[in-house]
Amino acid sequence: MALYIMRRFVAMVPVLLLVSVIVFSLIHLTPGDPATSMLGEEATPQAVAALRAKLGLDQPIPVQYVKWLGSVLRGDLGRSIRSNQPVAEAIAERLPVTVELAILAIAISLLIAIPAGIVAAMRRNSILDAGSTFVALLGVSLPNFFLAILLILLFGVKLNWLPPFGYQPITQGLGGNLQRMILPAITLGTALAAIVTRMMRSSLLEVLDQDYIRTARAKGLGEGRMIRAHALKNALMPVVTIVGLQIGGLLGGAIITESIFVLPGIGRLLVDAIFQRDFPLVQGVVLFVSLAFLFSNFAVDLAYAYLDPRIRYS
Amino acid sequence: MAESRAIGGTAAVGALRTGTRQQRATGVRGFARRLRKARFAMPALAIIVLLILAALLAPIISPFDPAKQNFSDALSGPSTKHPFGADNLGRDIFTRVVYGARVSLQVGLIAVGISLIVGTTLGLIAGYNGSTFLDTLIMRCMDALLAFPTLVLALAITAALGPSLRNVMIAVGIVGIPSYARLVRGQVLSVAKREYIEAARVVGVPTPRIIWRHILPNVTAPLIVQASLGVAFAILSEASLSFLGLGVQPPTPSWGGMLSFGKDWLDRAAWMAIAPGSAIFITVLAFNFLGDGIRDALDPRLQHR
Repeated sequence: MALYIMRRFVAMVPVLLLVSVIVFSLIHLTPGDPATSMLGEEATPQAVAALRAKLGLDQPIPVQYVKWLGSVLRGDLGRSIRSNQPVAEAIAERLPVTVELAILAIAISLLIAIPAGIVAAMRRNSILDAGSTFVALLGVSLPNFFLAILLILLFGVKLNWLPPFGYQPITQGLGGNLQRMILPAITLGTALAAIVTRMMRSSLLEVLDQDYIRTARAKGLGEGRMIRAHALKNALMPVVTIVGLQIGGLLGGAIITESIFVLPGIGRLLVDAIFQRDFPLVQGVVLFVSLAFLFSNFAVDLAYAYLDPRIRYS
Repeated sequence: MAESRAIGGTAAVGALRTGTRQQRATGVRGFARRLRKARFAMPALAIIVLLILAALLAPIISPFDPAKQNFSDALSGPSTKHPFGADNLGRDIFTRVVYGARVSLQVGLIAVGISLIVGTTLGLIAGYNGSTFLDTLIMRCMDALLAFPTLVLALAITAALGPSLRNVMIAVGIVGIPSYARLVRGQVLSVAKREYIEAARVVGVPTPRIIWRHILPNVTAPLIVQASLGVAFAILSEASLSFLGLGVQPPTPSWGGMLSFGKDWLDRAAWMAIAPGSAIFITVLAFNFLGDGIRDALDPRLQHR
């Protein structure tokens, strides 16, 4: 297993380097001078020159890259040019909100999708099955920002059950926190629920076709007990994988969800940084998110290799 | 027919007959017939045709100017004058949805065009030079692009280039490149080993001609499927960027931008958000269904799975 982890990690290194090149290049993609673009046209030449010197933009690009990569490897992502706060600190401050949102979204999607997938598989070709397929298709096609608006309209404006916007930290009370997180979590979890329902259905159908299930049936085991004791565990493996692989989609969705519900997470941080043309912050967040995405996929690969030893030797 | 009945008309014979029928129905006519039978593909196609017509004929369909403000009608609800209502500046929402279709379809087609052309070219080069340094270089770059969540990459590119319709098309186009490159490379690797390609090489057919005449046609079918699903993805991405304020800039009507404006008026004029939101939803759904239908129609083996 250790050898497998090493091999997979080494294979990831060139991709990590290229990712760093792309993130670094962002600042140089801007039309015209990056320092002027960040400070705005009305900035004084002195201020522009000072920022250029501060960010090292007056050095040759390869030198800039090597220096930047060196600091990144030491965990230094630079400082925000607006607040002067270290970028890593800004990310660490906002991260808990995004992580909570993602965990709640995954929890909600699994609570809906696993029972729905099981029912669809057990009542294959019934109205229930067709209904769950249809709802899942709608769930995948419904843009999350439109779903968010519909939820706000129904629960926040018409029924007045939940606060439509805003955030309350867990430290100020779990109830208030959850009240404000539930709509964003449903928004973010719906598409995932749709994908997981389809996966759960097809993987359970595949398992139910196996010989050992026929044996279990033949010895007179009830359907419910058979699913719980024999089929579910094996059927859940691909589901775990698909959830792991959707983490990138969740991070992207979090940007929109946090913007609509005014949640102070990583996504909101990125959008604000873009509007303020705070490039060190944009670079830091984009790099962080892509690394989180890469490493979550890496973790899924490892988990899979651990659960299914055949993968390690192929 | 009589003979097969005499054998017993078993399921196997039935399957054989169906197989023969399917084999006969090749080419464009067979494709059209299978597409007609695919679930929801025809209603989806009808919606898309309707949208294209609406986008083309926008000035004829609607008597209003999409950008003209008319404060006496501000926030008025759906009526015969304004079927989808009017927004906070008194602009007709139906007109803006129709003109918004122009933006969405334009982004959908041009962004997919960029991904398709660049992705296919890179995939052909990588696949034809399989396992060389060039192949590795191209594919590692594609892996790096795939290492970003799609919306994050699109946001990052528009952030650098600046928000505008053109830059949204470029950003969404770049985000789509790796999936086409991977698809084409995979297909080319499997086709390039075939004997007729070897034969063409041996008799001295120039490489570009081999690629153009013999390899590319083999890759077309999966590319068409990918592109039709890609349009849905591009429209959704544009709407997301415009919703965040980083896409098409006002007063040009775009569905994402209208929805973003509408969200601030939910308590007084929910129609401002519902009309453009539904337009995005229906369009994306239609392109997804059409893409699925085309996939089933191009590859009949996938049907009924």
